[in-house]
Amino acid sequence: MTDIDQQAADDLDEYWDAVVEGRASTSTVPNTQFAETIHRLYIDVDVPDASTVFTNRLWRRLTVQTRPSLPVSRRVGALVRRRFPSPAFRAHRHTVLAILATLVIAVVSLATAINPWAQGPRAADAQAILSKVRLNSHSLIGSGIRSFSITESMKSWPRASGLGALANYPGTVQSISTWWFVAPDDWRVEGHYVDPPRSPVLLAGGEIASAPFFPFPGAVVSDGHKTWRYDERSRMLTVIAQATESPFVSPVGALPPLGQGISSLSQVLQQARICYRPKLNGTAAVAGRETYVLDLGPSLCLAHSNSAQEVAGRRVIWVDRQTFFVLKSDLYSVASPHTLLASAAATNVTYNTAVPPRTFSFSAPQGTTVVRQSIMPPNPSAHVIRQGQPHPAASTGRAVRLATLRRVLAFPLFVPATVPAGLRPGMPTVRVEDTGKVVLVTIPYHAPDGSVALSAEEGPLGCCLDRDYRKGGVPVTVPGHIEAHFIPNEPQFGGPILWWDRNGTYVSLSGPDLSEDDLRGIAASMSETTTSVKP
Amino acid sequence: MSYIRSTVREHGLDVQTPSDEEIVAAARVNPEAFAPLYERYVQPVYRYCYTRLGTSADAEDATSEVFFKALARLSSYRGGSFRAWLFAIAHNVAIDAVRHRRPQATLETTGELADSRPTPEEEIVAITSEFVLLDVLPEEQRRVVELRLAGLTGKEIAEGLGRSLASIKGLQFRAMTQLRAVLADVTQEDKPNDRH
Repeated sequence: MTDIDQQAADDLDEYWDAVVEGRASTSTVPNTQFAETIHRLYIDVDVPDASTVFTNRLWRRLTVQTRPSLPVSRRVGALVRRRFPSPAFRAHRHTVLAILATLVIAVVSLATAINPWAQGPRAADAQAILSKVRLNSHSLIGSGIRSFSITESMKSWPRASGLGALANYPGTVQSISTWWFVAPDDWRVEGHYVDPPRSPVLLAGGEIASAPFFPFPGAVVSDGHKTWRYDERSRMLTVIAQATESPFVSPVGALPPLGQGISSLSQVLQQARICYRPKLNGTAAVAGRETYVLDLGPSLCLAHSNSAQEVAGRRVIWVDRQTFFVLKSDLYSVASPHTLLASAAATNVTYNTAVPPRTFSFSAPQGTTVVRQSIMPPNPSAHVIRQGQPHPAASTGRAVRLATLRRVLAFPLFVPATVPAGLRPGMPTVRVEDTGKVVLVTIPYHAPDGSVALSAEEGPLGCCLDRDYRKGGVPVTVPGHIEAHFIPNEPQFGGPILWWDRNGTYVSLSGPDLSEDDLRGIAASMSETTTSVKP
Repeated sequence: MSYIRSTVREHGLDVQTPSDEEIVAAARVNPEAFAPLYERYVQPVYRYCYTRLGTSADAEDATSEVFFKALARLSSYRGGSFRAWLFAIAHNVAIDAVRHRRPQATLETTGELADSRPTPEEEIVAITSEFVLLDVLPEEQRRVVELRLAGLTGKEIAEGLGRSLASIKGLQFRAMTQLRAVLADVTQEDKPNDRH
């Protein structure tokens, strides 16, 4: 190469090293088109990440493969033979080892008695206990729990909530659910109501659920490859063609039971440091396990929420002293900290015991409607990129071609012509019935950081929020004389939602950081014929 | 990998990230100590294998093989860039995989489909398939660019492929010159009104 070419090659190499290492380049890169080419390369060569299921399984295989295979007793025996070759000692090794073991146990017991830290966190530190509970929600395996099975009983008193929809509910809602889990990704949850409840009901987490969205009776099962979600009432089985994340990754232990309550307790724990001032109120036994009793008080963050009042009240949780699982949870009314709304308690708990593998498969009963849900690959622009790398969203806008999708839909599909600056459309996902009928289309729009900033969901008339008894939201009018509903959810609950029916299609728009005006503007731009999206 | 991430971060372990060499030294005694390296490189290795092999199934197989070999050969790592050493293994695994690849079926036979027409999902995937830029490059140049996209520096690529840094710079320069020309042609065709 000529001197000029060599210099250019050196500059290019230094520049690309800087991109890879996330630092400022020391080269001048005289030809800026090389820099643009590098940036374009990162944008155009989109490669997906490996799935979490695969990476977890591979790690498990790697560690099993490399673990020493000798049983412990033989390893100890070999060690004894090396350390104590004397025939006389070896003849009496059992006696000697017994004496040594006794001494070791005595020393450890004495140390444990003296050192309070060896018994776990100090009893007076409620926040430390809550932090351990929260850590467990991220890392069951890290906490030493390889498997568990928990049966719990839940009761709620909807009328006590004082909420308009539940004011006339006459009695108690009771359910029983059982949870099984084997690390890393086999889990099963099933439950039933003691008596068929009236609609709507109050769940243990404080959420209101109407009849189509009752969590029971039914089951959710995952074997690490696929997930089955069975609704016994409607005799519908949804099969998701990949393992979805266990509900235990988010909530701790098994409480609350199926449904939205799972995420609410998770949010309680996630925001523990910010939103609650826990107090330790002694210990108690639940299902034969010693627990810490933590009074979290009311949520400081949800006190002024206009969409989640029912989950904002005082909570008391009972936490297993050994595993830091939540074994019991009481939720009180926002209006009165002594009026119990819902209570869920474990009645049977086992940890690290064998669970039959057949527990984590599911066969649909005869006459079941099967819906197969396909999960599309994630938008590659959602990768977390290293500092300094060109961002995938830095390209000029590209068309979203949905013409083929439109041909297979039984309802018109609407696409926005304008979205907030910086948003880029991602690959749509579809939910498909066993008959091949598409019942829901979701089109995500990604922010430059890869997060979903806007989500458009469309389905046949009468689906989704349209099925909800509340017809949730404030009536609003969108330019173009579209009568819509606006739900002002907070960002931590997914952000506000604008939904409406149009020409036989249910359409909803939502985004964690979008305002009502944003959503109305996007809605006004949506049409059946538009196929392009302008940045 | 959430359990590994939480073990490192949330259980109050040392916040200073150990170097690759330190982790390798620990892993030679206890293979489970390899976890941070696994977490650090499993995604870059997977993406590199995917770029080379083109399917998630092949990429998963190759990634698995890379890490099994890496763990088995830890004793042969003699210092220097661990990333270069690891990707040298990945490079060779990918070569072998391409050599032994059997013809692939274009559609999985699930038994539920009544006919062979693509499903709506497959059509959607087909809609958004991108023009593969790297196909225009000769193999040697493509290998260098792929390793760049996997996050290696020029020196690491040279080390991993067993070539001089000057040679890598030359291959890289020629590759980018060609890609620049191709992209210039593509940009000319990508007119703003061509969206329907």
